Amino acid sequence: MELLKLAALCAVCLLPVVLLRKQTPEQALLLTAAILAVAAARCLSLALPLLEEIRALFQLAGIEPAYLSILLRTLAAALVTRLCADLCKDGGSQALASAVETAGAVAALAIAMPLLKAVIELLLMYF
Amino acid sequence: MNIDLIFRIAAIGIVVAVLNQLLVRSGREEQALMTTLAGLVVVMMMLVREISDLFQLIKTLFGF
Repeated sequence: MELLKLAALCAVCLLPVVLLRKQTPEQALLLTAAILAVAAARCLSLALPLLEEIRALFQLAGIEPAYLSILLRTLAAALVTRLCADLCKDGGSQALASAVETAGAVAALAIAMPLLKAVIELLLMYF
Repeated sequence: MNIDLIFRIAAIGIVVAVLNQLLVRSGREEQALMTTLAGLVVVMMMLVREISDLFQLIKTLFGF
């Protein structure tokens, strides 16, 4: 149900963006960024109970909470990267978008490094 | 993180667009540029606060 409200919000707010795009394109871009921020915040505040349930499931499965935090941080990095890259594309600059995507990939790799180390140590134990 | 932020920014954008056209038609291009810049700065100030709130939410939610 919340999805419908969010979709309606974005569709309705698209009108002023299109209106502004012809006259003052920079205002249209700023308005798009504002809508993006509000929609993302609303969407994330919805995800709060889900994260609690996932944490409980991980507890149940006996997996280390450290791995869950790595997973969530990688997810956050990917989310921010995608939103920002699409905003740059919307502003008309493909180069900035690819720069943001590269930075996002590096950040995700840096976050996931401890996990890779753990996997390799696990493998080395068996061989 | 409420909706009226969007409507405020949209209103400022439309007012700046109209003023821009008005000034350009009356022959004052530089005033039009000044108005556009002023509108840009005002909206940018409001937006920066919103974006920092969003990043704060992401940090607390994803446990950074």
